[in-house]
Amino acid sequence: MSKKVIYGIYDDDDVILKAVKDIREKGINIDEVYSPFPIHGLDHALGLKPTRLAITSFIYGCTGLFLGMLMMWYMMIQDWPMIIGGKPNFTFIENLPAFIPIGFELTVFFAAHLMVLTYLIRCKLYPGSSETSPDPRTTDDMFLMEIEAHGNEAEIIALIKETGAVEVKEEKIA
Amino acid sequence: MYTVTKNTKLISLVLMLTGVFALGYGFIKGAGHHTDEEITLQVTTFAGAIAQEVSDGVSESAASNYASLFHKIEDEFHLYFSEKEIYEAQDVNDVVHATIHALHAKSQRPWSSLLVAAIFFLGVSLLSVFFLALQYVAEVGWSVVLKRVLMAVGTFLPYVAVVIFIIILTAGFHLFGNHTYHWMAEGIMNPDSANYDAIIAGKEGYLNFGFFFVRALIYFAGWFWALKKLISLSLQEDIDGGVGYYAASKKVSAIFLVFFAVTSSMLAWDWIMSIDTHWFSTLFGWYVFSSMFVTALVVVFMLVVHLRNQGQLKLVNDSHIHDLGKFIFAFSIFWTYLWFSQFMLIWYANIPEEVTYYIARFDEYKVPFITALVLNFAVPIVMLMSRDSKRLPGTVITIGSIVLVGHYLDFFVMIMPGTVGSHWHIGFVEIGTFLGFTGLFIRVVTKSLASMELTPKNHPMLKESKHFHI
Repeated sequence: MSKKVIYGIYDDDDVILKAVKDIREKGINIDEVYSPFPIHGLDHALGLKPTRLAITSFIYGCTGLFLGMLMMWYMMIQDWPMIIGGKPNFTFIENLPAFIPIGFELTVFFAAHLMVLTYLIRCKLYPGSSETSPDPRTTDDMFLMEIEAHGNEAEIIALIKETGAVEVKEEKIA
Repeated sequence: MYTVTKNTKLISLVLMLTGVFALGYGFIKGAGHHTDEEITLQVTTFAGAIAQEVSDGVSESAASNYASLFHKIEDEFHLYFSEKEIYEAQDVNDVVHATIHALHAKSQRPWSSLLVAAIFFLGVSLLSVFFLALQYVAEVGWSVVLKRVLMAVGTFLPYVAVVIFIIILTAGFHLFGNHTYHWMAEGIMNPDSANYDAIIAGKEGYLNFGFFFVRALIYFAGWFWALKKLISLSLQEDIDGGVGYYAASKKVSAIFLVFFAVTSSMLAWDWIMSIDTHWFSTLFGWYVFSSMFVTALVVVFMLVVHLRNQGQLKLVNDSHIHDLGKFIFAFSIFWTYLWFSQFMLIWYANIPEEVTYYIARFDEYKVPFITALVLNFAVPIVMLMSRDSKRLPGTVITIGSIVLVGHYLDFFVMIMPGTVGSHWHIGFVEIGTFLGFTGLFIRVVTKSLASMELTPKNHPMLKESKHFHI
């Protein structure tokens, strides 16, 4: 059986936000929404799970802090102890205040960079990736809703039109 | 309209009475003035008696550390000496000196605890006004429904002013054993006096009583003018509407913020840093500011949640709560940043005149000093990091209460080492004074909350605040 995907194209963010809510209320699952800018409240309306990016950020930050401290321990205590400002050079803990800025910087560095990379990978935005939006106008002034149909095309198309779409498209996928 | 309940009145009254009792107890215990000559005579008499006993063979040698002499003095004057003081005494003069110091600390104790509580509540009320002015100047929309709470908290300022002026005046005229400010000591700026201190005398241009007093007057006048103006403009806006009052409030706020930028640092130099007269730190003003700001935010948060639970402030939703929580979280970290910036430079440079400040705190105040750091940094950063915890009023209030204790200890460790030295306690006097202040604060703030509509009616950004959603 061949599957069909239906695209509803809207020209206003408030209209598509309302449409998403109305269509989901009818028990129809919306697979994806493409928009030129983030729409406030859309993730909630689509019923998406809360992002786990914050958790990865916390883990990356802890990694950065640990690696920063490890680096300073190795450089300043283990490998080549140096006396700076008359501070004891043989214990890590006595030198800790001097290492805190470095630990802090590496925490921020790791958390920020790795979080961006994670985000890009999760969004499939690595080098060589191709465009996923079915209509290039979603990068300009249009908003697109994508619904997979399982034999109920007519109902979906009617719903999309009813909720204020300016255009409806149908496409077959293998 | 909010009305003050009987229970609130009763609680605040009980707290205020506790405060009066605690202060009274502190003053009575510290009273009984002995002049320096009397103390010297008493101590030398004791020393002579002990020497006589040793030479008569009645008791064994008093050893070189004067332990038994110290014990006699402890019994006579109801004092307590630290082991360090006992160990470090080299001759009878040192013992006399230690005794005079201990007796001064005893009469100083209620004054210091009054100053700590006054600075704490100065932070709460003044930084509320700062936060209010910030909302106008930055044209913030979300916080409109909180503005009246900020105004009500600000109205506590004159009460703090009265207490601060009492402290300043009694210290300046050397009344009731108030020795809070070392640079006010008699003869300290007079080269012919035995008390002369060249370094302190060099600061006479700034640290002299006349200028000090006038400065305090100017600070309070400026702060209170801005608050009065903002409240009256806002209340008038309720009646007339329009954007004119908002524009005028913005102008007043901008003037206030410039004035505050200077005076917030100067109040910290004047009323806190000048206690350790020799020592100075350039970022001390911002450090005090951050401590005060966190305190104010937590108190405002508690009031907002309390009012919401009372069925007031119906427009406050979880997003407002969340944003206030974010402020508490962010400024707790900002406080730590300044704490560490001040500490690390002094630790690294290790210059004697600077490092004495931290040595006094690490030696004699280790417990409150380290506890303050843990409560003000570790607790909020771990507990308030996640989005969910900041949206739960109960969680933020629990963490906020811990943070308030931490910031009380922070002010305590700023003020006590320079005023009572090693003779510090956190006992009935300190806690009672703080509770008394809390009672007065509750009474004054609930009264002014009841005197106005809690939600501004015609604020141009009221609608934005109403629909605030994050």
